[in-house]
Amino acid sequence: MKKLVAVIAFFITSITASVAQTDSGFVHKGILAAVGTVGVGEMPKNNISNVYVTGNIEYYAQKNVSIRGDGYFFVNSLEQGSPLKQNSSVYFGAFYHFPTHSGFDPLIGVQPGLAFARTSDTANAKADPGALSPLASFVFGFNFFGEKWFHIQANIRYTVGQESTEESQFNLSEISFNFGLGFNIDLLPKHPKLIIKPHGPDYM
Amino acid sequence: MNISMKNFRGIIAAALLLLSTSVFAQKDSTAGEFTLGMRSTVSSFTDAGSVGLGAGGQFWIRITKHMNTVWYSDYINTNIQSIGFRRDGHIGWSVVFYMDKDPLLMHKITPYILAGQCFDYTNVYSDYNKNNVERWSAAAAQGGIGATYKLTDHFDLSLIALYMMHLGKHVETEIDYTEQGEKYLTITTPQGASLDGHLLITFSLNYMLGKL
Repeated sequence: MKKLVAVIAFFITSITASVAQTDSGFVHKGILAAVGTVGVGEMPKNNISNVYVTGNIEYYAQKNVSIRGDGYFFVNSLEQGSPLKQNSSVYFGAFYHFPTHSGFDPLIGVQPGLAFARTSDTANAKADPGALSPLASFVFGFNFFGEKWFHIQANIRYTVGQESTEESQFNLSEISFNFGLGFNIDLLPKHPKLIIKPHGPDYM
Repeated sequence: MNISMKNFRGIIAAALLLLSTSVFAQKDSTAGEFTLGMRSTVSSFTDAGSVGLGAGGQFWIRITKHMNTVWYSDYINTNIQSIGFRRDGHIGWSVVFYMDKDPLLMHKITPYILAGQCFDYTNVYSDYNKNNVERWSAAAAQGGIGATYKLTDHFDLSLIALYMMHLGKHVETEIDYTEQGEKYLTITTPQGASLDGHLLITFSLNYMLGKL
């Protein structure tokens, strides 16, 4: 948990430092971005930490609004003997991007999601088969577009959810942090203006 | 014919009336706006006070300046005090009436009332006797209030509170205690109509894609 707090502190410091930059804005409508990250999450109700490989695809429908889908692939729990054996999830939602005058792009969003979770719990000699569980999540973070094609991304996500099967009722609520590198393309590139010469005696 | 069937027909008649009203309503520039969104839902006032959480999606098709429709799907999971659980699936629609003179303007909260019908799946499980009850119903009706805040000209946040009544077959749960004082969940499936239901509070983010 202390490590997670330290990571969050680093994250906030990074935001503060980036805000100070004042080069020309990069963020605009039409950006399509894909990011791969590594994430770590802490489940306070169960006192276990989990590692994920995550990815997301984001489209800027407007300069300050994007639609984004995320996938979290569960790698493992860091604790020995953790009851959680699977907790992969997908999310889809929208983000609001706070306007800035730089490549720094702070964002906040809400993403409902679904998790496939499975535990080592048993009931009547039957192992938990796992189940799809609805999730609600709140995200804040940033993209930093420092180059034409690439950007970095960091997010803090709070997820609320519960696995309910006949064998297990496991609280999936988690605070997680992820950080990674992304690739972006511009689907709406600006075309040069068409110049039409005026008609007149000089052009005849 | 049982009561629930009558209720179901009433709902369909009301829906047709609303739709016919919209057809004859004056056309305006906002008619046909198509908006897509994702939603998180909290379900309460059901199953011994337990609160459920759901995820889903929705789209809106606007009919007139003051009338909209929302078509939605939800999957809700409720842990009933760790002695059982309930899963609900909803696919339904509501008609939305804006009371504002100029609804859905940017940076302004637009309140509204809404009502509709949904297809409803329920699965309730009790740890006590391993009882697992499922039922489908086409006769759930809902009504409530909501508000939308447009953050940009295409993007909005919405908060809706709906009370959903299961008018057809329904599943009731009750917490009882053994002689040793341990609580357990009993599930019953009473016949006939009932106004039992749950309060659904939905938060959604929506993006208007364009006009149909």
